[in-house]
Amino acid sequence: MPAPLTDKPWSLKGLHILIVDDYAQLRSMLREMLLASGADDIVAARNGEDALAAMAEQKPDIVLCDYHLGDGKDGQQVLEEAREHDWLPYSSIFILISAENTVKMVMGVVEHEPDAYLTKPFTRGVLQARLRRLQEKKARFAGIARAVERGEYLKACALCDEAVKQGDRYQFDLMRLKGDALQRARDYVAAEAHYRAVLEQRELSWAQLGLGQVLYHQQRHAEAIEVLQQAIEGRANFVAAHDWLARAQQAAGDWTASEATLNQAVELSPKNLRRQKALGRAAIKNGHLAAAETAFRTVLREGRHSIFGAPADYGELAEVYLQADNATEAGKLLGRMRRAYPEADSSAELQMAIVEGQVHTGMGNKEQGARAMKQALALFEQHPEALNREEAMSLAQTCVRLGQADSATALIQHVVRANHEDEAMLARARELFAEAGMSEQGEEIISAERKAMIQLNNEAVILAKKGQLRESVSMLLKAAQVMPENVAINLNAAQSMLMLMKQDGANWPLLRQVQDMLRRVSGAAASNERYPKLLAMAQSVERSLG
Amino acid sequence: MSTRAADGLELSTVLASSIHDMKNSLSLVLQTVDALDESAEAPVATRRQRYHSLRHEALRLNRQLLQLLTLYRAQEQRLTLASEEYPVADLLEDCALEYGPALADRGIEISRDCAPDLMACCDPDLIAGVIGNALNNALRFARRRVCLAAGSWTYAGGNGACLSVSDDGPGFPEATLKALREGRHAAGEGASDTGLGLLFCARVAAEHRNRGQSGRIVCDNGGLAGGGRFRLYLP
Repeated sequence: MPAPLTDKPWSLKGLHILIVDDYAQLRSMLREMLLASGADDIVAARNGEDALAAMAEQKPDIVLCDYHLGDGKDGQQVLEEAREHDWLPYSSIFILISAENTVKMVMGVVEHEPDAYLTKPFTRGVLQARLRRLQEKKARFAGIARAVERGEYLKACALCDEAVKQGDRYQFDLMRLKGDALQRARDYVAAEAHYRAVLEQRELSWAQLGLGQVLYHQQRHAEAIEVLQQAIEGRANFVAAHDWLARAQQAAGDWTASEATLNQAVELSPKNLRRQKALGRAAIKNGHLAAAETAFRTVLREGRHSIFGAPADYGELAEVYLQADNATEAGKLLGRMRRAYPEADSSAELQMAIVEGQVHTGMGNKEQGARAMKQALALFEQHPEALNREEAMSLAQTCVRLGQADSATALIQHVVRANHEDEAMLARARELFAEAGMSEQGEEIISAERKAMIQLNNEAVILAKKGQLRESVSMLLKAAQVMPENVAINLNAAQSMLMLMKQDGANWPLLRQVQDMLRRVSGAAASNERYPKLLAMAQSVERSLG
Repeated sequence: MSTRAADGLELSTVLASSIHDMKNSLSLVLQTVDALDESAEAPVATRRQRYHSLRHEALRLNRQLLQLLTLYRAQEQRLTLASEEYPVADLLEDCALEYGPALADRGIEISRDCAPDLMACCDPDLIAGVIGNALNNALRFARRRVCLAAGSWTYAGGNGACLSVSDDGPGFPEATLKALREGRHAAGEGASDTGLGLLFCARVAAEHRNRGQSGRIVCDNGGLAGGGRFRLYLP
């Protein structure tokens, strides 16, 4: 925990500090600087892998990490993986050190930002002052961060407003936090107004990016493209704006422009796997197989030592080779994939079976393809949760190609049921049915599934309105067990439970369940105006429980 | 692409004189390091003097590298700011920490005057370079006092900040002020340390823009008791 703000002289005593640098002399220099500030619990790592191992062993209070760490992971990757593993609680401080302040712009405004960048060289006095101020700033924003962590976005916004009104010195930081909270609450209309108001005062890059994002989420792709292009103008190394511009261009159907944008972004920051995958997919779409190959090869190389690498990556590269009529290379990848994941969990096993089914089928090995698919489907039946909707759809696609219509139908049905309000997903389902030559039948299945889901929800709502809240809740909870991803079911269940608590009095177990359901759909792609209202209701119940 | 910087200065001239300057710094560093090795038993005063000399030259080298890289990027049209909302008081504290020991060594008192909630939207590394440059000048000319101050600055499009470094020395020579008024930052012998530094400061200031307003620097003799004053306006 950072030192409390008391009158005691400031010191790093008792804080667990991690130093990461590939250069031994710089490690010992940093250590000496910290010792001079009272630090008494310092560990050091010479590369990203060691750094992550050290964080796994004990969560650090402070990390001083150099950006350049030799051949392995760089400092940004260390940060991303540590955050992904939850090894950096809010109170911790992560400082990325580099020789040049340009790193900040290339890396900045992405999902995982360090708490501060420090440019070499710096004196011990400056390091000390920086750490002291960061602790103070973190303490100041702790309440807002806690609200965001719990999914209480409206509360977070209110806290930001309050602090702005009280004249907190970090006015723009607060406005940025508020924009984030509004986006997380999926209130894109309010977020747009918020970002426009900020830009009235000052042309800040995060506000331009935020405006582009919320326009994109409102499907106003042309406007999003215009705003993001402005954000990039004169700031060629603003990578995050490139990523969002590429997404908006894809959504507007301009895959050529999207590929060009992603190419620029990858040139600036080549190690990000998600970006390389996006580039590879755009290149395939445009028929640029050589470019796609380069991108997916980078994904495999960088993904080998990253938690963001997955067996499905091999499938994407294999697809490129298959399209280039190079079955030999595609086949070789299967062996490499198995060697790369010797101890796979059910999700990885499933992904590998899918890739094998896909590649063998593409190579014309019908029998082997069918065998792999059978295995994949068996795994899917045991662990339906191991497959997200993207994976389920790609498995369905392979089934279609193999002529296994029944399996394909079952998979698509599963996806439709969980996403019956998501028009984009339904469109993809229709496309797949069409590819299988079962457009009509598919349409019937989709509309039947939708009808069933709507009916189930309606019945539950009617029960609730009639005051039979217990029946409504039990019906929706049963449905949620089968379709944990379905937004409407989760929201209705949360609503019925909240009404039940209003009627019979609140209790913690039920409230926890409500919060779980809301959290589950908070990541869903669909925007839903009921979501923030339900969150606010849950918050007021929480307050009533004390 | 032109080889001339926008300010009418040949980059090759800047480069040559900078390298010359940095080599001077390195010579001093090497000489001092050798002296350290030869006499470990030197009196306290000598040791302190060596410490300050090394520290001074190291800061100077870093400043020169930052200036060169920045001017090079500006010429290649590749200078992009890493801007953020930064507390000006923190920025001034960092500068005072860097240059404090050298000022104290010369018996110069440094004072700071800045509201704790004043913020500037800027690239803090580059602005620290600008203030460091001004402090280094003040250090050379001040008699007993240097003052680092900041306040808010209102312009047509919004609110910004004005940072200043004042000293109680003899002030800028009239020739330098005249050259600055005419937009010639590198007065005198092509690109002296001071000239190059001022060119860098002007460039960084101009790169900071908001709603049609650019930043700028102003030098005059309105400092302490008619001494030199350097002001940086950030929109």
